[in-house]
Amino acid sequence: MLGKQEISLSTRIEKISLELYAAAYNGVKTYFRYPMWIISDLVASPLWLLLFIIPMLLFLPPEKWGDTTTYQYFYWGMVFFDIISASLWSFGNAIRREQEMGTLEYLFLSNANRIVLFATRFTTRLLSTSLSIVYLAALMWIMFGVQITVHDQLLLLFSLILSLFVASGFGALYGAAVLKLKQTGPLSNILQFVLIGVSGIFFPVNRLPPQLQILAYASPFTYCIDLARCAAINTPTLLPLWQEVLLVLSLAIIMNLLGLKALDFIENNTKKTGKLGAY
Amino acid sequence: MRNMLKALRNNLLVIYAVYIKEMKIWLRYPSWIFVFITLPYTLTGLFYGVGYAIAGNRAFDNFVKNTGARNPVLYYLLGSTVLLLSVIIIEDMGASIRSEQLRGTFELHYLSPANKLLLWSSYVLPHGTVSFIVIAATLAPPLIWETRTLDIVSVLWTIVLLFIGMLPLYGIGLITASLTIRFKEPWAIINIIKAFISVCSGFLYPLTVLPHWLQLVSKTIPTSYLAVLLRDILIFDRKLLLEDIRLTALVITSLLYLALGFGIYLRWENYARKTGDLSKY
Amino acid sequence: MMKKTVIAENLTKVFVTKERKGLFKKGLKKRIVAVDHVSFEVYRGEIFGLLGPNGAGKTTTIKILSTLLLPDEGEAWVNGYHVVKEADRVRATIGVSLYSDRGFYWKLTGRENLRYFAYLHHISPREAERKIEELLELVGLKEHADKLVEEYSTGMKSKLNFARALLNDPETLFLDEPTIGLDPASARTIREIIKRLSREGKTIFLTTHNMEEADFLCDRIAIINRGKIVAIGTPRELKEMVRDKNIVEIEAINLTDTVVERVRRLGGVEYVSVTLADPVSFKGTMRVTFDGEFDECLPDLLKVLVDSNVRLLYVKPSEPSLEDMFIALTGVSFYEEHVKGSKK
Repeated sequence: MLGKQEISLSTRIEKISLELYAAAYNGVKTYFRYPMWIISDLVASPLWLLLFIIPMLLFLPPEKWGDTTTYQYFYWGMVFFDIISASLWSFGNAIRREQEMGTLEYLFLSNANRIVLFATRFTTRLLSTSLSIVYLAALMWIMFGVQITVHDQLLLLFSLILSLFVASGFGALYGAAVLKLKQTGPLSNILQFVLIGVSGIFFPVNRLPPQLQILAYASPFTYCIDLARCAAINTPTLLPLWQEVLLVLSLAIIMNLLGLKALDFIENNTKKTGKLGAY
Repeated sequence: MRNMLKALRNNLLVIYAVYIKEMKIWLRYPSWIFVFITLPYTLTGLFYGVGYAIAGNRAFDNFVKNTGARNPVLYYLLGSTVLLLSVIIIEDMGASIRSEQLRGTFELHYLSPANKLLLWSSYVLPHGTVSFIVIAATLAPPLIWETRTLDIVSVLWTIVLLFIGMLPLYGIGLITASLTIRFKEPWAIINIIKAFISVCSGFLYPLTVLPHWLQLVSKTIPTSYLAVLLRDILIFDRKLLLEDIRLTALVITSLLYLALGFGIYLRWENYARKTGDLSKY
Repeated sequence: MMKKTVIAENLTKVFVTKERKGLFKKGLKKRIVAVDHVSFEVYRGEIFGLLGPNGAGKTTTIKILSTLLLPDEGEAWVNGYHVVKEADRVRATIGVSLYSDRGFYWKLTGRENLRYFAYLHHISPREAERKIEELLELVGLKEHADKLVEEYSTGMKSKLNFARALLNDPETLFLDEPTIGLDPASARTIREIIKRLSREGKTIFLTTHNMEEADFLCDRIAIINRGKIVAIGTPRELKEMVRDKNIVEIEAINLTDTVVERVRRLGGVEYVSVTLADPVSFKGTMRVTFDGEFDECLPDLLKVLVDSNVRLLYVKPSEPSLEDMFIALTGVSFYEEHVKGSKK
């Protein structure tokens, strides 16, 4: 039997880089080979935007329906709607999708880092979210005459990327939690709207009733949107800015570490029950 | 006569088989019951919450002025429930063929002598059963809270409207399913159709808030009539009359969409048989 | 002394399933012992076959050895590494081809799928390209390499599966039904590749329910039935178990169940197995194993067949086959167990 070999840091970095490249490669190729989805996003996005905004506008008098600040809030709300949806539907359902395709067993036959294995979806999501940001901004201008402005571009970019990392970690945890459910759609639907509601994606959470504010502060997405909104439209943050930046950074790291643990758990659990390849 | 009776028996057997199959599947994965009942409340809470957050104390008065309804909770509950049911039916029908192709069971349907149009349209019964149960369960609490009881005529009208309102969704689902045979990406197409139907039906707002040209488009969507008729009965406590033009419009457009769905489906089915696409996934 | 590359000791795996009845009735839990205290060893460079009918436990065994399944009892080592405690080292030294026409990304081409998995196995891009070209050529997929996998036939996917298993140049290959779904020519190609790989020093562990394939390919075979190993040996050694038996092979028409039952009840007949080529005319091949002498048993057999209006096409003494050995060990024919396993 061969003795244990120590792997050098450079070899480790090389291996992870190769895995990340493989995941990105898979993600990008797959994204552009589903052109119907790109078209679907282009056509359906303005419609979903209307469906969410109009019911909320009914609580305002018609003369206030053109208020720019309100629409800025809605815009960033829709961007984070996309990110939260990604955490549940893209990352959270990644394992189920791989089971459906029959590729999960083959992924676990490799020694690739388990979080990186699902980074394929991260790449796809990064592409999709970037396109959404630009496209939604164009729609806001065409449909409502609102120009989306950004106060601090660097901070915004930083917060959006970190938010995607938080979403991927959250998704891994969620994916582990729901592995036993054959259909995750129903739960994903509910959780999506609960998270959207309590995370204050359309309004600051301090406007929520005190009881709901407790839930809001427990949601990692609350701080992500709060930071992004501050960077975009210069709104005050819940915590001092530097603290909030540190918090979001920590959440991005912690959520992914927890996500890795969750994936380890899934792997062991499905190998015990024989459900790794089952769909 | 004997042949007619035999044909009738066979067709009833198909309807029964689909009903039992669907109900077994739905009841063996009962998480949907929880979703169907809680999601409308979640959506309602979201709209209500955001509305109050942006409008403050004037929120309720503004809502009454804009919609005519004095109960935003009931308004959004009804709208969300019907929206959810419509979306589920479109998804189910639209993706059904693709799911069957992936499982390898689609082709097997064509090996049976069952009439395919009857087969696919039989899904309306289990869906209708589920829809009625869900609407009743979701709307009962706010109606009871308002100490309102519905008379039997209103209940019957609700059931009838739901069944008629679902027919065009089956037609749309069949169109989507047909496109699936050709394009293989049903969810992308379903996404577009769902968004379009959801916005143009006015489930969550009066259609008068939409631009004029979009209101004209809505007149061609059967579910827009369904939304307004259900609101009349369940929210505004109005009596529905048989000669109501909106009811006539609902029936005509529903049947038209269903016929269109069948027509397109049959055309594509022919195409799939010639190209061998029945079994491809 | 030959090096052992695969060691299995008392491997056991139990699955719990639930039965469902009616709309509301709660399901009954059922324990299925898929692999029952299985032990064996495989030597470097040999082709080792795990032969058994459907549901015998072949795939479960291969999944345990390839780290995809955790055993409930027992231990195993592959290439010197423990399959549970040193799973990552096992994975680095094996290649696996599971019987599946899934397992690929449909919107990637064959080449792109191989590239992706090569990178996951930490094969550098340059080395991966070289290896991929070589493997595509080997399995005969070069001209289809740049087509999307969603356009591949079942046979093409099987070949791509096989190519993927060889990407990391493994010491040991686990192949689950490697020729299933392939046309005879492609199946022959795969078998030749397997033989070649074995000559190059690779250990091949394959599962199959095809007795002829096992007989042709394998250096040693383990017969598995209902989760238990019933015999291990070379094909010759296994057939020797039934060497003292007299076997006659009859091809005939009208080999109905009634006829088979009559033959079974004859004195001196140990086992009867029938393979029907045409279920309408009941044309097929019957193999009858006697524990007595030919001269004593054959006339009675022929009389029963003639009296039963069986139309004889040929009658000849036969060498014992693995099927006969299976019947001798289990008391039932391989075909019957295969059908039962398929129904499970």
